[in-house]
Amino acid sequence: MQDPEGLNAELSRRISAIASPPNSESECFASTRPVLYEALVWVVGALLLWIAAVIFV
Amino acid sequence: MTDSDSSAIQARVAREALDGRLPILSGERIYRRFGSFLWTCTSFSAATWAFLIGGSLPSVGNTVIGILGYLCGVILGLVPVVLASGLPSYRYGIDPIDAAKASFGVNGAILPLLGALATMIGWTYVVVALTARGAAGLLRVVQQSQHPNETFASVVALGTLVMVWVVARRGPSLFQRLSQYTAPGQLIVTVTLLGLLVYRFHWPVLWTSNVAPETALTQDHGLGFAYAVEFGVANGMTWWPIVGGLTRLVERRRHLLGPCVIGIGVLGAAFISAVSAIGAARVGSPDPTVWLLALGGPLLGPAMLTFVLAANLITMVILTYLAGVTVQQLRPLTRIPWDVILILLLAPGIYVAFRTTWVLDVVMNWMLYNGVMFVGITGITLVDYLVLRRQRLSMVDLFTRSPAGRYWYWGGVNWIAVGVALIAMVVYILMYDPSTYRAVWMFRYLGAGIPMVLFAGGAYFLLVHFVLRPMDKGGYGAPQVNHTTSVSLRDVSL
Repeated sequence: MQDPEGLNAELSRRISAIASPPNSESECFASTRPVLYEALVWVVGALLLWIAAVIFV
Repeated sequence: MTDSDSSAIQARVAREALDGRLPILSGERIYRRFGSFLWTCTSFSAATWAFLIGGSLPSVGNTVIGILGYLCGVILGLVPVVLASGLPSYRYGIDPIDAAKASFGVNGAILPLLGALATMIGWTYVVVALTARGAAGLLRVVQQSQHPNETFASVVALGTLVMVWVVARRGPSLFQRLSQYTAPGQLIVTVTLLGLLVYRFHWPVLWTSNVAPETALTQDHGLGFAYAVEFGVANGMTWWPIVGGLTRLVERRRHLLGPCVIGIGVLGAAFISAVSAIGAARVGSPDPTVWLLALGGPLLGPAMLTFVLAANLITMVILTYLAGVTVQQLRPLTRIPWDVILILLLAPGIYVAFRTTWVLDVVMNWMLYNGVMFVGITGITLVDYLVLRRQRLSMVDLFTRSPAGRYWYWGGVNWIAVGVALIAMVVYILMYDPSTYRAVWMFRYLGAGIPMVLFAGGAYFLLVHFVLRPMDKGGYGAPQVNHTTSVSLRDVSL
């Protein structure tokens, strides 16, 4: 597998596999909206902590 | 070919994907539970550097402000980093440098590559040096000698390098398993330290333990808070090349952000640094080998310090593993066996083993600028992947080094992204110099890292709209799916 042709052939196979089932039907390709909501919650939490610290400390 | 032969080949190929740049398919990912990824993130982040950073937090003038500001900053720094670097690597199973080729160009990704290698290799050597100096300091206390034993420090450093190679060559599965023991241990040690602090000094005293005013950076609480936030944001930014390297090993979507922010930010960085900040302010020394031994006493102190130093191994192994994957972006190294790549990465550490004090004096100072390298890169890759490309990359084009590829730009380099990233770095340092703490007036309200991430992302968005799209560069006008350009699977190469 260390030969360039073998590596590149395996890369081609994997690129095809990524866009095909079962990989394309896995959670990796599901909507990331929940992750974005979670990110928003963390950011808002940090900002609230920032405001609270500035006001109360 | 028998079934067992076929399984063995599949296992070998999967192993080579984990140790290289080949995309990792969903079924091959090793982090399948929230806890396993959380423990790796915690263990990775909770190295001696967390104690050192914590020891420096009281210098903002007020320990509580330092702790709260640092927590805010780590979260605000980590979230955009996970979205910019972690999301594309998770979806496509690729290294963050490969993902960054969409915005920087297939050759322009050398800029984040250099930053990534500087981060991983630099911090590996810093942790080797910290471990060696910590062990020498421990021996000095045990032997009650005046000076640390330099030979012992070198032997510990060399032994550490060998241990890192032995564990890292086994791939990510081993450090995933080891983290499940070291991370809870690190948290137990930290809770024990907090318990000792509360038992000896009580909360009212701890909350008011500050450094002497003449040694503080400022007595202005607003500016002190901004410094602490910036320490956290800069720490968060340094995770750009690391987070993607880890999320490509994660199988489930809901295990992405939580373990990163909780493990790396809240537990590994903020909690340990908070206890360190209080301990350092109370005992009067930012050096963890001093205050930890003073607090723990003759038996518990050395035992806890030994565990903390031993747990550094996981951090060094993960850094070396990620550096090994990343360095394969350099084509000649793609074909070199994994064991040899690790030896090449760790070999300069032999010099470090005999110059541990120099590493902590010189390299550590240089690493203060580590977060600066990634403010622009984070802003650009965040906007490029989430907003401009709507989370769709063309895998074929990411691995095609040809003018026919959509990420070719100008000679393989997107000079606009490179320019914006470099300008963001320069403006950051003009706003705030991490080594001298010199800051402009607006730093106290906004910090420097967050505005520069927003600036880089906004500037890149506008330049894509007004320059790249009209020039038909970067594939911004076309749907981002495979097989839609003139390149095909036959053209891809590592």
